[in-house]
This record gives sequence, structure tokens and C-alpha cells, in this order.
Amino acid sequence: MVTEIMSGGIFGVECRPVRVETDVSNGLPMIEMVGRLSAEVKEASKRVRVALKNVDINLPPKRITINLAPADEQKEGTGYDLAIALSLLAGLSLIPPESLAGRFAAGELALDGRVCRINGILPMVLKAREMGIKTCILPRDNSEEARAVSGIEIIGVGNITEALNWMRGKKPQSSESEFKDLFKESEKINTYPDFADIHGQEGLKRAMMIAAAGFHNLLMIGPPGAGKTMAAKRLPGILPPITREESLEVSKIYSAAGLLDNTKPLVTLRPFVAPHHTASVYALSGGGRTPKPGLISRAHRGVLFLDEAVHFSSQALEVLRQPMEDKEIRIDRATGSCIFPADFMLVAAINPCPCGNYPDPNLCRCGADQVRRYLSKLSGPLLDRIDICTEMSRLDVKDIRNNKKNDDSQCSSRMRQKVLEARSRQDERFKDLDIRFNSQMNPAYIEEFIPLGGNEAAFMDKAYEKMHLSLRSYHKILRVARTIADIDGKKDVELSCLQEALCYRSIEERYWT
Amino acid sequence: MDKNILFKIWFALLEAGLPPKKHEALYKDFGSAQIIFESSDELIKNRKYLSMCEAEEVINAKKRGLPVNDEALWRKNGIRFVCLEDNTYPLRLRNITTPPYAIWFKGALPEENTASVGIIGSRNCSDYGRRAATYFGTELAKAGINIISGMAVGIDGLSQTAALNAEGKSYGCLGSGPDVVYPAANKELYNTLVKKGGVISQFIPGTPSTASNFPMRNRLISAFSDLVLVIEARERSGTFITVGYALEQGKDVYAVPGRIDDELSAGCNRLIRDGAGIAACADDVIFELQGKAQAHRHGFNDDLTMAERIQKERGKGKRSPAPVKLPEERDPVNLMILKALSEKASDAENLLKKLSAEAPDAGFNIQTLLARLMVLQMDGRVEEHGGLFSLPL
Repeated sequence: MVTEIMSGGIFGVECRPVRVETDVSNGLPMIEMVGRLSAEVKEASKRVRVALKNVDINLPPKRITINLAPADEQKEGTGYDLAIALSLLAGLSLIPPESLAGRFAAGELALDGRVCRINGILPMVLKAREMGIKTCILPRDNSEEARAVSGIEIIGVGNITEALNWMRGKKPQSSESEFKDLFKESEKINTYPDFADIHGQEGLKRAMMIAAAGFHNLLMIGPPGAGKTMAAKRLPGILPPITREESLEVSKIYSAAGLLDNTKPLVTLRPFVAPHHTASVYALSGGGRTPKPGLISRAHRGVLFLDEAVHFSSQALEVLRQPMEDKEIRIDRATGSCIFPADFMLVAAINPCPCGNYPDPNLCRCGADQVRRYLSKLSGPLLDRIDICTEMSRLDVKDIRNNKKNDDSQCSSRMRQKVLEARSRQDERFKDLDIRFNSQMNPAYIEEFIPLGGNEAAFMDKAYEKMHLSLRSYHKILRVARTIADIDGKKDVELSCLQEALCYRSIEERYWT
Repeated sequence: MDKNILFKIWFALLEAGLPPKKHEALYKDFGSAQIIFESSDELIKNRKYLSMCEAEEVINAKKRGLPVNDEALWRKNGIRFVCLEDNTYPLRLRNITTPPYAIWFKGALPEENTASVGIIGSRNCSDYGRRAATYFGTELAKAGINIISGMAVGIDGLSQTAALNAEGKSYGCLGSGPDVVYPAANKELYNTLVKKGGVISQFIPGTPSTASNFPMRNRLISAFSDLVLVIEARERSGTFITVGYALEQGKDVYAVPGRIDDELSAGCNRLIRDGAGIAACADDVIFELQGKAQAHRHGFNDDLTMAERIQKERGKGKRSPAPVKLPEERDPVNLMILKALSEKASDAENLLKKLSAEAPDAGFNIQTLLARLMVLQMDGRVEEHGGLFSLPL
């Protein structure tokens, strides 16, 4: 008799469903496993046999064949153990075979019968729900994360005996099987630090607000200790709260990367990813023989912060180019291609020159070509994708000491309020379109949504001429000006918006004289 | 076609195979390239100052024949040639000891009767040097003075660019063949120089730029200049090679003073200590040139002094009138901004602090201030470098 149960393996951030079939028949006693299995999957038979033995179930001397279908796809990982064990037990009639119908199981077995946590539970459960499965049997250590999915029963098991008992109809501790709105519960907690901690730097705060509102990529240039990193860490706090769909999207990536556990079962804050500048190409892009999401995917819907961006290897920086355009990254390997989402906001921080003090004539001793060479480590194509570029200066120590919390200084909540207003205006504008943010407007949209009045057009003509702008930066300035107008609650892009936006134009037009 | 020029080019090319002194001796001995080419092998071999090898070199060159193809190609590429035998050979160059036999150039040679200033300095210049180079380049060009320099990055290129932008003339002396653009970053400047001035080289077309060529190039710069102006040089700088040649050739040397603790100005300050003129403004240089009799006046038909020449050039109205007051400038806020910046260059952040302190009720905020600075910048009232706003020099 053949018994079967559903399971699945992770490829990229998606789950590929796998049917685990078991046949028990007479013949030479052995366990045979088929279905294009890699070594760790083949070893499952040994783990299962010993784990069952240790919970006092000895396998009878039968010829057991286990097939993982579809048999032409490579199977990897240890997540099939539990499904194999259950289908085997059903095959031996130790549990009723019909109890496997409409069930999904995943988990790794330890030799003493424990069920251990595996990566990628969330995509698996989502896939299971999609396939119309009613119940998932999963490791208890992962069950919290699975319960974020509504409309499916989750059974968390700590060891094989518990699974067995549940299958035999003994009700487990009921509370664990229910859907739990994790998203709602943790929504209010915003643990990101407040912008009010930063003294002065009103220009930077303003630039950050604009960047957050329009999802513009941002480049900060400033001397060491000006507060670049501090400001960047506060940026996710002023982004609008992550939505339910976004949270699930991001959590799937984190689940596949094995970064979720019962204490943190769902990503409910916008990610902030700050790789060190020694990060390799594959650390950023993701990769491996079976592709794993990289740091840029972990920054999906959040902020990717490159501190000391010029010190990243040039290949690592160049790998960002395509994802910044397409909002996803495609990893092609011999085992198949997978697409990781990578819709992040790039925030880069650099010093203006090797010594860090340019253009302060009292401190900087760097020559013009040194400055140029230093800045040119950021390639043109990368700079093209950065809309806002802002400078910061060293703070006066007196200002820090005498800092009185004045009302004019921006704090995160007030900034977030402005960002939300700007976002809702964008939502209104783009409601029937395929884009969501001002930064995504192509020239056709720019023409449609940024009508310039006589004065404004004359100003831009003059700027184009006098500042030797490229057409590309001309468009960037218009996009940023649109966001500024949204923040300030203006219906049309006014002269002052354009003038301000022009101040954020790219460094290649300002430094490289 | 003038066959004569082929002999001259043939002899100029011989420069690559002979030590410079031997080459010069050969020319002095025979007096003409054609005579050398047409004299017998025996005659060459009998020259006491030529070693066997060197004589052999000359004879082999004769066997190779006249460089007809090269000449045609160079002519096609707009490379022109002048040598000591020609009347058109620049007087300023003829006056130095051991002038190079041949000069290759694209565009034009500096006019003999126009004052010229060589602006030299560090390639790796500071913001101060950059501004000074632009200022002197512009102002001297407006006074009708030609700018001679080496087309390098830094002071050289900046002053030449500024002069050309001010509709003046500028000439670049190269350490490579006249058709080799070095550094490649100055390709645009090179093209403009060819159009509006000239590039000059004593090296055969196609010669790559090597370190050993630069002292020779520096000698050309000082030779073509009536006065040499040094903007930013370190204590040990290649600029001093040019200064050395300038002194040897009897040219005045002026230096732009720098701060005493500024490494990049140490060389300039030392020059001033050693007696160089102080160039604190363009008029310092212009007055010096005016007071000077033209060193090679015998070459001209008229009898004008340098002062008269400069006056004549100025009379053509090359100097732009004083900038017109813009309506923005009468705006009280703009006036405040300009006043604050005239005291000290500042970034937007500190400027905002300062203005808010001065006028707490005006309701300054960062966005309006940035917008205003932008407008002032576009009108050329304010300059910005790396986030630091200042008034233009």
C-alpha cells in the first residue's frame, strides 16, 4: 500500500511542493529512497529509523521504498524528515493512512526523536495554504512564525511522539494551533531611535524626510563624526509603517534565510541593513549553489545603508545597479534560477575626501585630484540612481553642549507625519498606475504629473543652461521637487521646490569641476 | 611643395638619434639642414665633434631619405613646424641660450607683440589655488595678456581654461608630441587651445609624455612668458624647474602668497622670501608688465612699450564692465546672506544659525535658505564647493 503526505523544499524564497510517498512490501529488509535526492535527504532514512527506534517503534523487516515526487527535481535540506517519518508510520499502519490526506509536514528529526527547527517555514505554509491544505505539522520551534498565516491549522510538535499522538486523534494543547495576528500585536512598537537625538543638521533631516517620502535614494557626504550613521539608523523610523502584505513579503525572505524564530516570528518593522564595507559580492546579492537571499534582499521594503560607501569593493557596488533598477535580483545557478525581491532604499554615506574635511580650508589638505579620485570610486551609473545628495558639516562643540531642545528641531514623529502626508498624496496620484513613489516616475509621467508654470519653466531652463545639467539630472531634480511639493502640501511644483531640489543635485555636478 | 621644409624636418627628426649638444654643434657648423643632408659622407665623418657612432647615425639618416610621408601626414593633422632657420621662429625662444632647433605646434604660436604670463603651480592644488588660478587666468586674459602654461591638471589647466573662458588667448607647452593629449582628462582644454590659442612642443609628433620630457617643456613655458606667476607650489616642486629657467632667461617671477602653515604654499612663500614679486591681485602683475620695456623690441616695427601695448589691448574693451546690481541683491534677506558670506565662507547649516540669530523673527528655515542660495548661485553672486558657500573672488 502506498501512503503519501505533502512536504516542501525551499528554492529562493519560494517553496516547491514535494509529495512524500511510501510503499511497504515484502522483500529483503531495507529502506530505499528515490527522487533525485542530495546526500542529506538520503540520510533521512537513517535519522528516521533511529529516531523511531528511540521512541520504541522498531521497523519491521520489510522492503520500504520512499519516493519524493516530482522525482526530476533536485531535493535538498533536512526538512523532509518529519514527512518521511509520518508517511512511513502510515505505511506501517501505526497511524491511520487517511489521516495524512490534506496534511503538510516539515521538520528535521534528531536521533532521540525530537523535531528540530528548519528554515523557510513561512513560504512553506503560504504555499500549503495555496494548495488547499488544511493542516501543517511543523517543528514547535518554528510554529510561531507559521501562525502568522491565517486560514490554516498549525500543529507545532516537539518530538515524533507528539506528532504520532496527534495523528491518532489525541487533541494537543489547542491554543497553539490557532492563527495569531502577530502583525497587529507588534505593530505599535517602533524601536528605531528618534531624530530628536541629533543636534542641528536640519538640512540633513530635511533631505532624509524628502528621501523617505518619495523613496529616493540618498547620498550623504560629510566629515567623520558629523552624524551620518546616526541619521541613517533613524531613517527607517520615519518611513511609513510596513503594511501587512509588505511584512509577509519581507518575512518570507527572512524565513528562507533562517533569520526568524519564535521570539521574532514576523518582520514587523522596516528592515535596516547596514553591511560592513568588506561585504563580498555574494553577501550583497545573494547566491550559493542553492541560492540564498543576500543583504540587498534582506533590505527589501527598507533601507540598505552603505557606510563608507567608497570603501566597498567596486564589484560589490556595481552589483547594486540592476536591483536598483528592477527592484529584484535574479540569481541563476545550474540548479535553476530564482528571483529575490530587492526593493530597497539605498542610503550611502561617504567622506568628502581622504582626510574627510573637504571643503573646510582650515582642516583639509587634500588636493583637487585626490578629492576627485576618492569620489570617483562611486561609479557614474550608481550615482545616476541616487536622487538626493546632501552635505553635512562638523558640528560645533558649543552647539552640542548648549543644545536646548528647541521647537524647530525635527523629531521622528513629526517627520513621519509629514512623510505620511506626502505618501498619501502620492497614493492618490498613482492610484491607477503601476508605480507608487515619485522616485519611480519615468519621463512620460514627469511630464504628466509635474506641469511647470511659466516662471518655473524659465527657472529650469536657466538652471539647465547655467549649471550644465544633464537631461538625467534634470529629471531627477523634477522628481525630487515633486516630493518636496508633496511634503509641503503644495498642489503644483512651485519655484521654491525646484530651487531646493536643485541643491540636492548629484555630486558629479558639484565636486568634479 | 617647399622641399626646404623637408630638409628641416629631416634634421629635426635627427634630434632623436643624437645627443642635443652634438645636434646643435652640427647645425652651427653647417648652418642649414639642407647643406648637412647634401654634404658627402666623408665630410660628416671628418667632423671632430662627432664620434664614429654619431656620424654613422647621420649617414644612416641620410640613406633613409627625406620624411615625405611623415610630413604629409602631420600637415594633414594640422601639425605645423618651425625651426631656427625660419624667420617665423618665435623671438622669445630665439633669445634663450640653446634654443631648440625645431618647434611643433597646433593652432598658433603666441603673438610676439602681446604680453604673456606663464602661470604655473601644483597639479594637486587646494581650493585656494583653484580659485587663484581661475582669478588670475580670467583677469589677465581680460587685460589682453596671453596665458602660457603646461596644460596639466591643477593650476595649469585651470588658469588656461579660465583665460579661454574669458575670451582670452592661451598657449600650452606640452611634454609630449603636439598631437598627444596628456593628461587625457584635459582633452577638451586641448581642443579649445588648438582653436583659440595653440599647443606647442619641441618633441616630434607622436612622442609619448615621459617624466624626462617635462623639464624641457618647463623651459618652453618660461621662454614664452614675459613673466612667470607661481600659484601654489610645495617646498619641493617641479614648478621650481620652471622658476629656475625663468630666472636664467631673465624673466620676472611673481608668486601668490599663501598662509605660513600651508604646505601647498610653502614654495610660493619661499619664492617671496627670496625676492619674487607678490601677486596679491591681477593688477600687481599687470603693473609689473607695464613698467617693463619689451625685452625683444628690436623685432618689431613699432616702438611701443609693454605698458602701451597693454593699454592698447585694454582699450579694445576686453575688460567687462562692473557687474550690474541685480534686483535680488536689493532684497534685504539676500543682502544679509551676502554680508554673512563676505565675512566667512559657510555651509548652509551654519549660515542658517547665524541668520536666525541675527533676525530671529524672520522665520528662516533650511529649505527657503537653500532655495535662496541656489538663486544667488545661478546669478553668480555666490559660489558653492562641496557644500561650502562663499562669495566669488
